Amino acid sequence: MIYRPQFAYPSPAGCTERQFVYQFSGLNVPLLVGTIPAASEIHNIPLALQQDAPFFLRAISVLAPPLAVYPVSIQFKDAYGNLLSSDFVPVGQYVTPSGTPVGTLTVAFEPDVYCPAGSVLWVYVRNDDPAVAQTLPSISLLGVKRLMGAQ
Amino acid sequence: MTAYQERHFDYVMGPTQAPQFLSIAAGATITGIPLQLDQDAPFELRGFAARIPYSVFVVMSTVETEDISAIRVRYTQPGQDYLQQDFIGLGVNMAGFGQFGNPKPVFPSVRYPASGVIRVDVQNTGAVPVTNLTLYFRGVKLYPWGSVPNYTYPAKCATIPFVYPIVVPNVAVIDNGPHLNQVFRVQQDADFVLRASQGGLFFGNPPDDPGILEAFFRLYDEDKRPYSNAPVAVDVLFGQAIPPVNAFGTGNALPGLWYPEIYVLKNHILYYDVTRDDSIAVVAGADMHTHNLPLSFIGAKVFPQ
Repeated sequence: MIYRPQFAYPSPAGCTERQFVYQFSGLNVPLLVGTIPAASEIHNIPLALQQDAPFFLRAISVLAPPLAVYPVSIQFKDAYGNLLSSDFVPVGQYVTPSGTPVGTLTVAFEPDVYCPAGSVLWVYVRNDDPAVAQTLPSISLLGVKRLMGAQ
Repeated sequence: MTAYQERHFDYVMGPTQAPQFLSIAAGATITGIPLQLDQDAPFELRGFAARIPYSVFVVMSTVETEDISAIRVRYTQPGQDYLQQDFIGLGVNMAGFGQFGNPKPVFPSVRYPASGVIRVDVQNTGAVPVTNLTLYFRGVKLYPWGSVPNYTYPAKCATIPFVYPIVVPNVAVIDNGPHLNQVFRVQQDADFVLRASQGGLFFGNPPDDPGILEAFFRLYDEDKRPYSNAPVAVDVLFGQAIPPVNAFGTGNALPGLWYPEIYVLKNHILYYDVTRDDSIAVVAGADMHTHNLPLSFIGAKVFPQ
């Protein structure tokens, strides 16, 4: 079995890894602006990564409005087109952080997801509320950039 | 490789296993309550949790509420020696009473023989009776290698994190039949290793609808061999993901673990039962409804290479 402490990944020789966080929201992704209509889906929201280095996605944190129940589900697709769930998963049951309101513990993705430099991850969002539009969430991708050589 | 094949197992000790737990009078001390372990394999205890039904907390706001933290417990290892010097308060001993997928660790683990007995003493130091107490002893059963199915990774493989969301539809207020022997089938493109689970909608949309309070889950392998001796409360097995209970120390970052992980070949299945009994809340006057129960199986897809 592949049980080991999370993030205990050794860096390959000749590489330098730097912790990096991508933040996507309505401020930098047009499809995440505003709300999602009731009982609807938004497909293929691009989360474009930078071109300077590959990124190893190791945790996700999705910030949702402070509702008793946030009726939005989400699905991710990696840079190679692999879906990371069989269907939409309720945000609050999947990728919202723990530990609020005192600090936050992000949701680890195990194993980490390799994203080539300049690649795009995709996210799909569904509003499960039949009557009320919901604010779109913001999405943080946490991991490391792998840079070649000593930095 | 370990000497024995380990297999996740939860022993439930509730009113069905220990009738004394149906109601523990205020000030009462009950000793020597036995939990009979199964005869098929030794059991290694590695975690502990406790709960009483939520409905009493949520609904009975005008009377003195039952208080699980008034319960003090001690239990024995093989040979009937206690693992505690005296009764230990549940509220002192562990955060969240070991619920929400985060049981109190028992370390070093304690190994009980097949057909062994855990003897439990319980004390209620509160001013009101405590009803429907349930204790959970989590650990692993130990089998000789090869005596139970042991699917594992291929020699060369690639993995990606993967989640199977499960929606158990229309779980009635009292539901003990329609959602038994449900089938979870792994997709045909890759094996799946189940490592954790998550659940939600326990508290619905209060105050008008408390949601689902008392739901229970029991997992079986493809041969209908169970991973627990009885249905386990969903909020003990799984993380508490959805407000209003703030997921501090629990939640999506710390989901309930299946340890050891459960490897399921592509296109193979697991069985599960879901039951619900919110009759206590109904009797107390709560407006309970049928709901879908969302669950998630969290792990990784395994692609042979």
